Amino acid sequence: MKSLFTAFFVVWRETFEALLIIFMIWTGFSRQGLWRKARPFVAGGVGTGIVLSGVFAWSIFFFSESAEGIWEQMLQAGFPLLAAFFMLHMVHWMSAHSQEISGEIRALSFAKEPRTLTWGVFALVAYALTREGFETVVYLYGMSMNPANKHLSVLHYASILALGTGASVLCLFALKRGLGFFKLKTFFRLTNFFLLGTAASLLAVGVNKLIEFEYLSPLADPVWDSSWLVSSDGWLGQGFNLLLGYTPQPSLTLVIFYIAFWAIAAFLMLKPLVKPIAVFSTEVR
Amino acid sequence: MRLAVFIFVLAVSLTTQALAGNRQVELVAKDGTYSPTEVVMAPGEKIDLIVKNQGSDAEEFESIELKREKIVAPGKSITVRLGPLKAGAYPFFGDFHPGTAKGKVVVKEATP
Repeated sequence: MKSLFTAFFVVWRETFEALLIIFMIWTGFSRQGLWRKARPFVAGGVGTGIVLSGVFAWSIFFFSESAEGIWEQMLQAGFPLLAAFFMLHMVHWMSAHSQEISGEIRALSFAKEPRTLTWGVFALVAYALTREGFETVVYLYGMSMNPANKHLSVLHYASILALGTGASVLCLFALKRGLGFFKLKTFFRLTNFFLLGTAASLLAVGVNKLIEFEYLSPLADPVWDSSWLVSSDGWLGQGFNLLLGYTPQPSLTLVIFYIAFWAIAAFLMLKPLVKPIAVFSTEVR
Repeated sequence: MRLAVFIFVLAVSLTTQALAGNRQVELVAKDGTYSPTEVVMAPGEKIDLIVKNQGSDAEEFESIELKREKIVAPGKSITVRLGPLKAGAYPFFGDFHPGTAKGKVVVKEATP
């Protein structure tokens, strides 16, 4: 019984983390009236993520190497970095296109969104699903191999998956209701901030991997210790870790990348992307 | 062709670099526990932490302070590279058994 509950908890946590990213993409795209265009790419990302989860889980159960080769290292560091880039690109595009544009003009000007945007969504969702799905598959498969769980059938595992995913969907609805109390503008500012925070945490994952594999020097590790202020085992520290990539003991290299990221993000958010559209909309008005 | 040779040489040199010998330290994960619960290393030292999962469940070695996260299937082992670090204590845990699988890396000068 205990193992079933733990499994439910793991599935709930992992699916929630993956669905949170999809939820934020959904809010951003539906705001632009673009969700229908993004949907097949999100669906493709989900499918790809599930397949990759299975492939990676299979590879760690059936290969015995303990150290990664160069390609695995590239994958582990490159995938999150690419996802961080696409996330930033998406938020930039969305925020630039939401300024000074109203009504029918919107539908017109959004007819040609860049390809990098939709494929970026695909890559992002595929990455989020692979990361969380991989952990879920490994956990559940490991559990099913455990002699102590011999009495559990496929039905048990299917129920755990369904209940865990269901619980995280409910949590998302609760989150949406909770955020609904904010004014629409504040709500979108918040989701944009969370999306950028997620991009920053993806960047941190990639940079930490590059340091671990010695492609980057940590310079000084750690450069400070802020665990007295926000410790990593409190709920605040864990939330910050999930949403912003927070660590109480960052390396200097990580801090440099982190500051650079937010500087670039702030610059992009403040600078309008496409002047002609703004001019066009004022002419019509 | 020249590009292919270049990539090959680069890949080989990177791979051999990856095999540079650090001190290896073993950490056994077993059914939601770690043993030993304390891993000691010197400031500035680099080690290969070999995490062996001898339990029947999967485990994920994770540490927010060490900035590492890696899954170990039951019966398998993984290598987590640590360091160079400043003196201090860096807690780690097992993400699939966060209540019980706990330990820490202690970085300090060796006492003679």
